[in-house]
Amino acid sequence: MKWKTKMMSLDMVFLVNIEHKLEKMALQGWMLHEVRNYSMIFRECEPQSLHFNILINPDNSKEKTSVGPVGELETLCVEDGWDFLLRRGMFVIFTNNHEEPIEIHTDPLIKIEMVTKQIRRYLKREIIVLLVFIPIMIVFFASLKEKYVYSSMWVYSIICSILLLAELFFNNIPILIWWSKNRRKTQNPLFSLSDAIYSGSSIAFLTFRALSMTVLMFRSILQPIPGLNIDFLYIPLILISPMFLIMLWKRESENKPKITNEVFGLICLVILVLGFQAIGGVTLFTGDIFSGKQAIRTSDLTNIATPYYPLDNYTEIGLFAMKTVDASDSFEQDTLRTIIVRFYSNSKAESYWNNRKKNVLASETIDKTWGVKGFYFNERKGILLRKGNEIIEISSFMDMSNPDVMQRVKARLGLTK
Amino acid sequence: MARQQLQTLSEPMYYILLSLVEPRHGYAIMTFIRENTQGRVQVGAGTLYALLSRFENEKLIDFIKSEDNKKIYQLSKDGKEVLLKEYERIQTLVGDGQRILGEKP
Repeated sequence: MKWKTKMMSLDMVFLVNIEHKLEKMALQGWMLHEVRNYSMIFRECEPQSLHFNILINPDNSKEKTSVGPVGELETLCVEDGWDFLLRRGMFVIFTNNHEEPIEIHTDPLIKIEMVTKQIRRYLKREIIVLLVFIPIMIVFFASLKEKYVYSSMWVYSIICSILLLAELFFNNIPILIWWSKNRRKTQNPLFSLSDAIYSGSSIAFLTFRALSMTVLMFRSILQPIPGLNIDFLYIPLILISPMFLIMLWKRESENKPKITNEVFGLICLVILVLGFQAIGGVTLFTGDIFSGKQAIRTSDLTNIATPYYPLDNYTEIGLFAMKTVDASDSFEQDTLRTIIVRFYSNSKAESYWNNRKKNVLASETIDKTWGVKGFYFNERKGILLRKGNEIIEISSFMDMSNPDVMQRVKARLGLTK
Repeated sequence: MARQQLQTLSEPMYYILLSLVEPRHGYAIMTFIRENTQGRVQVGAGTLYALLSRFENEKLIDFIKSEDNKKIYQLSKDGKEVLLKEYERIQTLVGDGQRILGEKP
């Protein structure tokens, strides 16, 4: 038996006469078998003349396992000669092989009223979505602080953002067009308001998805919450359906398609992200660039003793790595060697700090004795301090725990009261 | 506001209320209407469902019982009043029509 996949979404029922398309497919010998998020699966059959009717019935949208009509309305449809075909969420598809069947909705005004009333039941949830995501969007824009330096990663980020914004827009075209067409048909102001809220919440939700992915791309400079490691946001990145990959996928095959659109998209996205990971690009989950073969060492950071020299050449790993160190400085004075490194983000600083701290015993911390966050290293001949994005390393041939040395270094750092 | 909308009934509304002078379930209502109008008035399942919900909210019909998963309704006292008013209104229209059209040769 042959199968065919067509790119069609039931959400388009507000915009496109999908019933007519299904009837045409049936005439050509393709019967609707399954409905997925963005596609429909057809199986080969004898060409037949069938009428299709798509009923919107959110009351039974959770009846995912039902193979027949549920509830009074659907039972009435079956009693009136319509055959239950399948259900997908709030959409129920019926067929009828009579030449001129009585439509399920014989009064278009009542149909619009009924559908609107049904959709309005979901308004409370949609309003909450709006109220939650709008502040998140405000925080996002407020956190944009620095400009980018052009890099391959930047280009990749821009491309992803454009794709996401396009997905956002595409998903909402049917809703927006239906709203603009239908709002003029009724005098009831609440009709337009409910549609606006419904559309707005869909836009807000998809915008959030777009923003969370954009935050990941630009995370080296976005720090809405200092110290927060936002690597976990990669999870929504991987789970988001990449519509544009699916849109190009349409095939006939001898076998029924075994993987869903979402799984297909997921596989593509995982390959994409893992590919970048393999060439030293974006880090995933717990991996960071300060461990393993590509670990950055202090000597990599400060090869030139020039104040605030941007060290792109020494800190990028691979072609697509994000910037690590914004600036650094190194100087020697009074037998003390000082290295100051300003990292591009809190997460980078945190990563480097944690790596240096790995072998430090509790007794080696200087929090209590020096009054700052830090620890000794190299048999107490050096100390490492942290101030936000900056890490300061001071080393000497003397024991830094010695009170005189401690006093001198404290004075230099402005730590004396 | 909604009640005011039902002061003048459309044909499907009128016949649905008429069918519920006796207790009936959904499919029986559709059959009654088709038979009594010789197929002239067609009420789809979705339209019937929507109107029954509206009538029930407006207390024009009462839910009597459920039988074999089918809900049975009947006209309420308020429903009878609305139906009678509509019947009288239609009679007035017919009377006016007969009076005026009947005078013409």
